[in-house]
Amino acid sequence: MSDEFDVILRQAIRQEAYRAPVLLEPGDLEARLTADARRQRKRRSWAALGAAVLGVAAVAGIMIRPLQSLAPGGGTTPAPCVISMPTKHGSWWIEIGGPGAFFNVEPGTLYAGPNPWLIITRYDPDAENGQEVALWVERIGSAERIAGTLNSRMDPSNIYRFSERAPALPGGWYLFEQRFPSAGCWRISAAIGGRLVGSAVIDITYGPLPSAHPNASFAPTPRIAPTLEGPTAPSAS
Amino acid sequence: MGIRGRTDLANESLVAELRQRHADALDVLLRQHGAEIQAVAYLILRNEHDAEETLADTLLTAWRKIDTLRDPDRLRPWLLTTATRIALRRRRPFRPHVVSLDAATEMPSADPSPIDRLALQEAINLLPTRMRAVLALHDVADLPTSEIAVALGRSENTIKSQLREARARLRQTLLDDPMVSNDRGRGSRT
Repeated sequence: MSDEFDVILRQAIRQEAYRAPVLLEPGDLEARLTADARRQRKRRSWAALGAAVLGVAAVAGIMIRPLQSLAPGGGTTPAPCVISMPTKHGSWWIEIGGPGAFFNVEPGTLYAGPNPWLIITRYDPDAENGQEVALWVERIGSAERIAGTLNSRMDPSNIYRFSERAPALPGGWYLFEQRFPSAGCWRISAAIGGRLVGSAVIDITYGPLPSAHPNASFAPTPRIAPTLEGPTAPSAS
Repeated sequence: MGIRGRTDLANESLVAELRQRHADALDVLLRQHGAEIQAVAYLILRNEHDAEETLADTLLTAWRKIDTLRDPDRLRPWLLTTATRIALRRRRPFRPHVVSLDAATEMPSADPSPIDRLALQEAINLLPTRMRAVLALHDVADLPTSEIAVALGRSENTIKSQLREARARLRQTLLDDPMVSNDRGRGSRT
């Protein structure tokens, strides 16, 4: 019995390991090789220049610092990013934001990059029939504003972490695709019918590794047919 | 005649092509070993994107360090153990809080295995990363425990005991799962 189970288990482990198809193309590897070579050449030329610049900067820093301390405000240090505190519901579901829209974002887990993250947003109260729901982000301290795209309405009873369902929280659940093209302090906002109903502040970084940048395979477009009958996606903003 | 597109190149020829820095050799390396390297990395990292990055890093490492491989017949285990080391360096201190929609929406009844796929995924996710690495090298890559021991810098006894422990934990988690123990999980998790 145990041996038989071990064989079945091993087969299942292999199936699980081979679940993801290989999407890497030879062209990707060659592009990386070229980029690496270019980076190395650049690094060598910058290294010499860097040493010279460091010397100049060290001297300049010594001279400028006393002047900065005399200026009102004591210099040009950027304001710290005061992020929204997450709320945990049940054993794993985490949200930030409010009062009328909550975002399933755990601080420190989203990175800047060219491709969108999938963000589950809960509107409480939900939009009425025919009202538009919208999500967008703005980088605080800049004019950068990126509109999110509504992917679909979601049924929370289909959201799992391992085998545990998302908690039955009230309101309407929607899946948005949202890009953060650069690192910084971002405000994420949600509206119903053009009226702001909730927002939160998150700190977006470039991540510890290049691989931490989101891409299509990491944040797959879900195979969920949109079931929007009431609220509608907004026109492009 | 180029070697691009070939999937049957002998190790010796492939290693020779790599040593001569023929870019087509990377293509062959990807075709011949890509799926297995990615499978090992995926079992360790539990993230498709990270597994793909590990695959790319492994092949590029092989390209750069092929001269350190003494015996061309050892190419496959060398690639797999390199991939494992890269994967172990890549592991993250946290899990991105993005719900796996694949896992959430796929029907387990499509899986012919008597073991519920979601339950198995959960059980594998619960294993420590190093234990997953041992499992990947043994159960997916079919490497002997002596070789895994060298690759991971542990004694063979430690590897054997980790393997036993991993299997016991998987068995325990799967048998504890009500979806598995009640009706073997077939189509019940929807």
